[in-house]
Amino acid sequence: MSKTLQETARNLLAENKVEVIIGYAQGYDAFHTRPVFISNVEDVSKLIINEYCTNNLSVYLPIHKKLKVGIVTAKEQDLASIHELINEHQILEENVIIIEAAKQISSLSSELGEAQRDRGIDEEDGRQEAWKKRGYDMAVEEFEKLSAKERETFWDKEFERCIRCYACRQVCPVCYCPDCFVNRTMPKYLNEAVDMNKNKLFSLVRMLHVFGRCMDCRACNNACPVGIPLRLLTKKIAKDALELFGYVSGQGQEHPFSTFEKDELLEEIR
Amino acid sequence: MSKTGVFICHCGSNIAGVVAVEKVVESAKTLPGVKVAMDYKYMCSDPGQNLIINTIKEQALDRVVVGSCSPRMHENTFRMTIERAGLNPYRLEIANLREHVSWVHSEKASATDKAIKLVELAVAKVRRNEPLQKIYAEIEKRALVIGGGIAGIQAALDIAANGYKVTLVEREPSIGGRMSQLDKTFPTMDCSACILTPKMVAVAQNKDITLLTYAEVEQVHGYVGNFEVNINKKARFVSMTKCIGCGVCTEKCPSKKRLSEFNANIATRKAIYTPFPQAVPNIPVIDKDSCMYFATGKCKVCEKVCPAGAVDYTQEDEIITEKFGAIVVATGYDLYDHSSYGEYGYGEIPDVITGLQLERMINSGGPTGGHIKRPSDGKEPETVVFIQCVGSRDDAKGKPYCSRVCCMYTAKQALLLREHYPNSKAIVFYMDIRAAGKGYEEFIQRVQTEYGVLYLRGRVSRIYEKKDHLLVKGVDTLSGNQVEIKADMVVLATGLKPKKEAQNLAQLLHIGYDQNGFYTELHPKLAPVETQIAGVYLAGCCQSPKDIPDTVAQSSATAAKVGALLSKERLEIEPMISEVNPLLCSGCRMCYNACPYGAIEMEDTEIRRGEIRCVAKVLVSVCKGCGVCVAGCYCKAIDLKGWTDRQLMEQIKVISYC
Ligand SMILES: Cc1cc2nc3c(=O)[nH]c(=O)nc-3n(C[C@H](O)[C@H](O)[C@H](O)COP(=O)(O)OP(=O)(O)OC[C@H]3O[C@@H](n4cnc5c(N)ncnc54)[C@H](O)[C@@H]3O)c2cc1C
Ligand code: SF4
Ligand code: SF4
Ligand code: SF4
Ligand code: SF4
Repeated sequence: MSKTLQETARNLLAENKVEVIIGYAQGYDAFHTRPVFISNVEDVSKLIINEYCTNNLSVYLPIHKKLKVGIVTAKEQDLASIHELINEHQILEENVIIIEAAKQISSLSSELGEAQRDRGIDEEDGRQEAWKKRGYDMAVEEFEKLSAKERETFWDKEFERCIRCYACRQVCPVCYCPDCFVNRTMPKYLNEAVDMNKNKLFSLVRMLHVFGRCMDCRACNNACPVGIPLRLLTKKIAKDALELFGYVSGQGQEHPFSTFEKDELLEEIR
Repeated sequence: MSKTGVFICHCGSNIAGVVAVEKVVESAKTLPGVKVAMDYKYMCSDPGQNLIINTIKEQALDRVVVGSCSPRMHENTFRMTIERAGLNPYRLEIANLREHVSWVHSEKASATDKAIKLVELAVAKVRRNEPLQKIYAEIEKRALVIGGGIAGIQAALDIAANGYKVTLVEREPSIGGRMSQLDKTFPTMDCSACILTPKMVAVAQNKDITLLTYAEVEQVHGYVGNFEVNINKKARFVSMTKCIGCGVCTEKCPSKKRLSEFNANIATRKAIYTPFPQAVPNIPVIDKDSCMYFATGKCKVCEKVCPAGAVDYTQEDEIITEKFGAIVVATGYDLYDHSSYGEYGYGEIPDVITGLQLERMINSGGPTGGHIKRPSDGKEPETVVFIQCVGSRDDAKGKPYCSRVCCMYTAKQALLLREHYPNSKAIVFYMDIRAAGKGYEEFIQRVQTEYGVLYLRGRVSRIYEKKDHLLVKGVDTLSGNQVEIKADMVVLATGLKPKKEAQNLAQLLHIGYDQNGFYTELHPKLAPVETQIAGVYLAGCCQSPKDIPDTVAQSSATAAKVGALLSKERLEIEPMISEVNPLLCSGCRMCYNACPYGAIEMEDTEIRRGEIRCVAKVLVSVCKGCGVCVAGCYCKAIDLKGWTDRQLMEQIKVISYC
């Protein structure tokens, strides 16, 4: 598995097709991986691929825009995010070579249930039960059935715990803004105080910003140190994009917010 | 700290009648940054403006808030006022205390509270106002007129008379429009052709007017003063330079089945044709769809008979690109198609005709030589029933508006009928008579008293086709009686509707249209010929149904506006447009895709020393300041000057801390 990957990487570097390879290396234990940037052929042995490769490495592509890059993708969504970044002109198609490891993983971990694999390493943390209780496993459809009040209470509880570390934003491939709105002071859009309402507002505005651009790659969800089920939100916006605008991110369609079709108008807002 | 002056206007009793002005002033005095606050009866009057100017000077104010009527009304007035006092004109905010408060609320206490809040919002916003500099652009001193009916003709002549070059684009082979199809014109009954053809010839002979017939506008780029327009000159298959207008080709052409559009389909025409003998230019076109040569490859009769060798089957459409400073839209109207009226026979009864068809019959140059004849058997009709409001004022048909000319043209036609056949009978079914023009009411009276035309108020419920006549059933609502009339012919006064492809043109030009499809003027009273796109003007029936006098008046008004624009040395552009901060721009192109005016350009820019990135740039003279890009930019790199996020956040603070 990792051997074939290393072979591919070695050839790409040796033939000067790429200047750097972005991939996964062993983390602090067997259940964790970390990103690695390889430009020397000798280092390719560091590359690994397994079911714990959960980060979306495409987040590192825009800063390498000028280089020829080989990038390892561990899941379909990572692949989609590369296409989204190309669409958004953050990277150049001709500069990126994708080393698609997604298929290899799925054969590797076929014995793991689909849902578990979705969650990557996290079930090992023993947080799974707690998450389930808090609605982490809830399908969007189920969540939509709750009353507005119930939903509000749900998120109030979740964002009560947010520590505003911005890990969700840092790992997000489409949160590449040179200066995120929360950091701005002129004007000050949002107070940085850690406060449930402000925390919630930050995440909701972030969701609005990534609407139609988020590939539901789960990076933010997995990065959140306090385990806020951000995936419920990312799944919801993906569903809305599809239902309201027939839009799927990463497919090269024109973003629904930059186009206008008359029949998109909802009865209520007409 | 900013030094803001707050000036609250009573607007007579318009504002002061509902809002406790003194309370607003008192509250304004306590706001951060406010140095003085005062009120006055009419702030826009001379003494009112002087009060502002003197206070600015005495108190060394640097910003001004006026609480008055809508900014649409007097923002410019007060901008000029503070400019005269030495301030940057954009250091002004208006709190709309009239349209947004006193005119819409009656409860005094809460209206006053709202006024206080609006002033607070304006003070918060003005605190972050930046001085803005006016922007200037060059002007292309030429005008484009689209549509060569009487509206376009008049506008073109007037613009040329002002000394500017004009290009007149007409879709049909000849200019003239609907007026060239009419016989006499109400209320003076002068012959339409006699007053129109001299103007058509004047257009052709004017050296400042370039006439492009059989042509259409395909693309429009640019902005006021600098439009770039692609015009498609359709292939005529007859050389404009060689043709001598002898008409032999038309005479000899064997294809003669096509219905004549000019004659409102009551006659046929050839495949090579000029719509009417007085056409300008008097050069035929070959209608490819009915030409035998184009269908079968055989014929070429016209080429053989043409003494000038002008026929050329190889001609192709030609696209020409030209620049204009102003555009006049004068595309006129179509007539409502009455085939949706079951009660009038779905357009299938031959002797039920339209008013326009009757015009062609009465016209001595028309296909019947000026005689009114029944289409079914060519007999002269004795009793003719006229029905008004067909496709007008009829909600059920989606045409709620009044077409304005049908009452008058029906009366005119009834008069002409009676004049032509003194033994005939004319009966008019009407809903109301609308005769509000000069001499119009007198005309209607004359038609009834002198010409004995019978007017029945009511609707026709059904027209039956009998052996040699029509049976018209209806109600006379004044007497309450059912009426049945044995008629020889029925004339429907079909209403006016927008030109078939009017919406396409609107989209090319980015101008708006109303729920009925007529182009919308910028302001129904105060800017009746302007559109919301600067440099694009309206004339004639494309804006709303109207008669010839109104059309001509509007066209001259439009020409005056065009003259005022083109006579400027350079163009002043509102500086309240978008601006990109390249440091914050990620180059995602959201704004570029979203901008409805194409005002964003992506450009490699040196962001910091040595760092070149492709970022957005606003084309100053194209941007309209609509703010769509601002909403789209998640990086918050683009901002609308005069409406910056900084200003709006200040306002949000005021509201959320209340
Ligand atoms: C039956 C009838 C009788 C009437 N009698 C009278 C009367 O007696 N007295 C009176 O005052 N009024 C009368 N009117 C009203 C009169 O016809 C109009 O007021 C007048 O014709 C309006 O002129 P216009 O130039 O606005 O439109 P039009 O005459 O419709 O001219 C528009 C021109 O623009 C051209 N055009 C359209 N679209 C395009 C395009 N995209 N590109 C290029 N060219 C284009 C058309 O081909 C046409 O030549 C009558 C109307 C009717 C229906
Ligand atoms: S919002 Fe979360 S799930 Fe969506 S692309 Fe960003 S990191 Fe991935
Ligand atoms: S949250 Fe919004 S502003 Fe911040 S980085 Fe993400 S997209 Fe940009
Ligand atoms: S990662 Fe989690 S805790 Fe950190 S800012 Fe995002 S939601 Fe809040
Ligand atoms: S939307 Fe904003 S970030 Fe994107 S290109 Fe435009 S200005 Fe730049």
